Amino acid sequence: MLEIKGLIKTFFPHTINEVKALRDIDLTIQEGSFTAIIGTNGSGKSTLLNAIAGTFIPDSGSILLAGQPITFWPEFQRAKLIGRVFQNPFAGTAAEMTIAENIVMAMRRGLSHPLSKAVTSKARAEIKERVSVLKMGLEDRLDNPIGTLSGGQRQALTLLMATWLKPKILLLDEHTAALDPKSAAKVAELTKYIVDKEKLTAMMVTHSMQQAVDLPDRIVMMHKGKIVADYQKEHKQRVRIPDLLATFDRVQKKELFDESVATLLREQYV
Amino acid sequence: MELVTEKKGAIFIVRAKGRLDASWTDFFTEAFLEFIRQGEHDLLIDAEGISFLSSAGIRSLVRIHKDLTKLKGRFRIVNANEFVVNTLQMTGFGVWIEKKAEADLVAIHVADAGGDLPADCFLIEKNAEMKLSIVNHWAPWEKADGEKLKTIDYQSVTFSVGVGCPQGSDSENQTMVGDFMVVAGNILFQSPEEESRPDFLQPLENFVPKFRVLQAVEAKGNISHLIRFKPNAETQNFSVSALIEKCHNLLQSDNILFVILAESDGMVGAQLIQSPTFISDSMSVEGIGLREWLSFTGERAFVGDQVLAVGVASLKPNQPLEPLLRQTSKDEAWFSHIHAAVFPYQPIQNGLLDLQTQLSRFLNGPPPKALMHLINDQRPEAGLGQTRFSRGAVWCSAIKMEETL
Ligand SMILES: Nc1ncnc2c1ncn2[C@@H]1O[C@H](COP(=O)(O)OP(=O)(O)OP(=O)(O)O)[C@@H](O)[C@H]1O
Ligand SMILES: [Mg+2]
Repeated sequence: MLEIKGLIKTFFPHTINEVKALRDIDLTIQEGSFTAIIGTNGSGKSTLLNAIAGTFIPDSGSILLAGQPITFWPEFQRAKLIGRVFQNPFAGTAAEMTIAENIVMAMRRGLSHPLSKAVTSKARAEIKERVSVLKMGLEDRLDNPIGTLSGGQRQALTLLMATWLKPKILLLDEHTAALDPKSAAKVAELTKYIVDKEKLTAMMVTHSMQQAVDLPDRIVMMHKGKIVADYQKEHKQRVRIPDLLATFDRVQKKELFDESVATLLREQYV
Repeated sequence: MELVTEKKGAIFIVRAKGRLDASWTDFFTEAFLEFIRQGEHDLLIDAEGISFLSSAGIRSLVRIHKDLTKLKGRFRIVNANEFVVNTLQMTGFGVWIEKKAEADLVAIHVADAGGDLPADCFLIEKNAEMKLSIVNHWAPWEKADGEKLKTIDYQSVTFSVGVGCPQGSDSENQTMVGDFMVVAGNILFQSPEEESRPDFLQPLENFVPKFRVLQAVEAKGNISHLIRFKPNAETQNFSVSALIEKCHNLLQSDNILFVILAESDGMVGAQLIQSPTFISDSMSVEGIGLREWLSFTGERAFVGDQVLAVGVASLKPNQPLEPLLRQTSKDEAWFSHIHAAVFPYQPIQNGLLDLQTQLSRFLNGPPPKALMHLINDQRPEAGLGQTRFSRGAVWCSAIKMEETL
């Protein structure tokens, strides 16, 4: 479904602020798979999702999505293939518009007159049905402005809207991080439900080890712009939070392993 | 009420003077609970100066006794006057009264063999000693194919450090050679795979653990002494070399086998992360390339966890032991090879401690978090020093060297 090869992105190259955000990333995501991306702050998780979404053009490397070479496509052109949800629950929706209007906008994404927000009765019935899946009682409040909802409710709706047209890939960037623990758990559970039900291909950046272990069927760990661990299939099944922490630990230890350590261990290790 | 304390071996003696009645019980109880908190679990009240004991006083004694019982501690009263003895006996607490206290005081305690560390020493088995052997030899980073592995049966008297893998199908296990240690026949090992956790093989009735060994030093025999140590005002923690030195003072031997069960105050160690059986003819493990084979703690790790370590130490190692030992610390003369397993913290009781009991307690409890080869990090600037412990136990025995070695 998604094939990334040799992806490199350096911000502020050749300056003192140079950041090698992606260093030669190779990643293939199978159709219908759900992958968690974990890693320390600044390891390049968001940059990887941004590269897929087309926020910038990479320095080198290629991206193939659903058979299409999208590497040089502008962001708006890719939007038809991609659903996104960010951390901020207020980012994905328009506060002053009603729930129904927001959803109609999402339904028309990529159509010729995307800005018409009239809600036909046929659309209304479909909206009602799909919103009821959230089990938040929002189907009875379709004409309320979305700004009156809680962060958790808004994030659930954003998720629903992002997946309304069954995107080729769903990109979630810490989409539960700004929610209170109960809402976060609810949105996480909904994510799993929708991804499974719609058989979506999804990538989810998260700092929650629990989510990474519970929800997806693959865990990719990043560090300093590289993929340093990749748990799939039976490896994923047996991995637990302490294993992930141990791997983080190992990666960091490897970094501290310099020439002086090598010399020391050459003498001392028997 | 006046309390004067004195430490005799593991026994903490409190000489009390005055009336133990309602107006003094709070003071008395609090003082004793504090003794217990500081680790004094073998309390002996010298009651010669106690002139009166009321019901409130008895309640206080009951409370202290209860707390000590929970910790498997001991509570005894000696030298009480007739009134106090009668009061205790009539209220049903006569069992606390100890008749011939002084003789008992010396029974379990071995005179401290000297040195300035705050430690108690116990004799476990007189004249017990160990025999040493080199089971198999591999020097890092020689090519090490599976044919070199020797299968060893581990009996309960065996102590060992080395690298090897569990027995199983060849093709699978050849790739799994990692650091291991044997403590009284219990094998603890760490496969060198990225995600693997330390594991262990415990000898059970009909099960004698077997292990395939690429390199190991082994000592067979019984433990002769136990040392208990804990921090005091001058000594906050105990380096590995200080503990070895303490064993040396006690055993008067230049070659020592020791087992440490103690709370870590910072571990410094390395661990195989790739099996040496993967080293090929054309390959040489050099420079920074070593980090594909070993991981290093990189900091003083696992502070506060409980560590089980086993090691061989020698003052003047000769062939073929010499290549398997490294200097334990910068200044001291000891050479050693030590492996350690790290367990989540569990308190251990004071005083005389049985190794087998503690082993089965730890091996049947929460699983070990890590296993490593201890390193003496004397890098000029960044050096982390050696591993240190804050409190715990060391079992040890002299190793008898044979001419054949
Ligand atoms: N648009 C940008 N311009 C300049 N630098 C950027 C940009 N986006 C990201 N970076 C830098 O690239 C590196 C990777 O950032 P990224 O946001 O991908 O990390 P992350 O893994 O998502 O971290 P976090 O867990 O904090 O969200 C960081 O050093 C960051 O400062
Ligand atoms: Mg991010």
